[in-house]
Amino acid sequence: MFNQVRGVVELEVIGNGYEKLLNDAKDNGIICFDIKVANEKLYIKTYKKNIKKIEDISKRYGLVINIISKKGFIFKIIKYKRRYGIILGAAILIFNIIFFSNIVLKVSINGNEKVSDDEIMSFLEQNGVKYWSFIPDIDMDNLGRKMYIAFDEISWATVRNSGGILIVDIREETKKPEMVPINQKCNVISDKNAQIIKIKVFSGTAAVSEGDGVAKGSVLISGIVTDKFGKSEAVRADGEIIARYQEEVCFYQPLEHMKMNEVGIVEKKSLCIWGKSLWNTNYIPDEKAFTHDRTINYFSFLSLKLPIGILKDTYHLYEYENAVETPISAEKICFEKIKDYEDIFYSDKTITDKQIIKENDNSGIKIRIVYTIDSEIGFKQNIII
Amino acid sequence: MSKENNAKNIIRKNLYLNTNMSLTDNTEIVLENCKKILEYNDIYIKISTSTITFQIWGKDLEITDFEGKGLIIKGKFSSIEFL
Repeated sequence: MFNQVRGVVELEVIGNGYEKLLNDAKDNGIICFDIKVANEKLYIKTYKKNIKKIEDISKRYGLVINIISKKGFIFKIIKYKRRYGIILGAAILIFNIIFFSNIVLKVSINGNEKVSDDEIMSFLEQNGVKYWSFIPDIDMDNLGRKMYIAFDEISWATVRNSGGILIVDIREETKKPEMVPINQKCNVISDKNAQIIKIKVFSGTAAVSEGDGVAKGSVLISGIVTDKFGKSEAVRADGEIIARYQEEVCFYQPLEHMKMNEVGIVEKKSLCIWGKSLWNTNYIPDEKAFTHDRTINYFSFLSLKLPIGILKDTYHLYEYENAVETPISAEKICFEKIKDYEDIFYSDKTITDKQIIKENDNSGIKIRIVYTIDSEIGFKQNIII
Repeated sequence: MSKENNAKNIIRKNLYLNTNMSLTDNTEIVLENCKKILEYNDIYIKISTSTITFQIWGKDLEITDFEGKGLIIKGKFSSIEFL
């Protein structure tokens, strides 16, 4: 490595008395190595800085010196010493590396769920940290502490930098689950008008039996237990109550309505560095309705991800259209809505019966459905003693 | 031996100025306190130190390191003669 920097030169010395050259070189502190004689010629290796001195010594003794080989990175650089453009380019490159390593080019926020990126960015800006801020000016330890104080949701925060990227690592507080005091006495109350199908009591006294009809708000399992001696005590009532009840839902589909149709997709690509586009991409579609997706694909070199990438903005353009449905197509749309509703709200319940009542008028299709559902009912209501 | 020579020898010995030779087989010799190379080619080398002069005969004689007062000679030595 050092030899590459210093540059090693192999010399051929022709003439008589080259021993004098070696002795003089040694006396002048010139380092010579790998010295050998072949075909009455002396071959020596030395460092680049000694060539001039050796040439002077050889002239003194009438020796002829030829350079056989030059090894080292230094000789490659010397070729370009008059290429000012390259030197200037190298200087600019070094300056850029130093400059861009010391300013905030990107803020990477990790570990936040409850506190949004925008909130953290706004907090950083309030504390004088924004894009192009000078990194050595940022008091990172203090910033982490301030962030911890400013946001209740944050339990730990640290700010550090990796080159020009400011990394904010956050750990958010995990809220403790609501503690149900085991000694909190309660009743189980019906939250629906229903008929009891099955009742299983884990603690407390059943206030209803299978087949009974119950009104909303009535006690299903009582938290008051009386023992065989007639002594009453309050407990935390618990159990599983399956009941049958009815629910009515109404779906409506007008025959004339505004419909949103996708009319096209616009893709805008631009080159980006550290997530920032190199040119302004403030494209706003002419259409009133659109959705926007942004993806960045970074280039990679071997397994190293480079900070340069392609930023792709995809706009899905929509147009509002005044649609007129026939009664049949409107009914079809209505049933699609019903299916979606059932998937969302009744996926964990059993629908035992479904009464469909269709009502048509000039403006649209109305479908009323009376669902008969078997599902768990009841909620716990504390007893204040 | 005169008193003067005796004193010189003691000083040399204590200051490690004597010629120190370390020979490995007949292929390598490490020499300390070497003064001059008097003659050198691929079969013969004549060296002067502060105390002695000696010559080495051999084949493919090569000086691998020559700096300060040390010298390393490599090759196939056939004889070492002290003059």
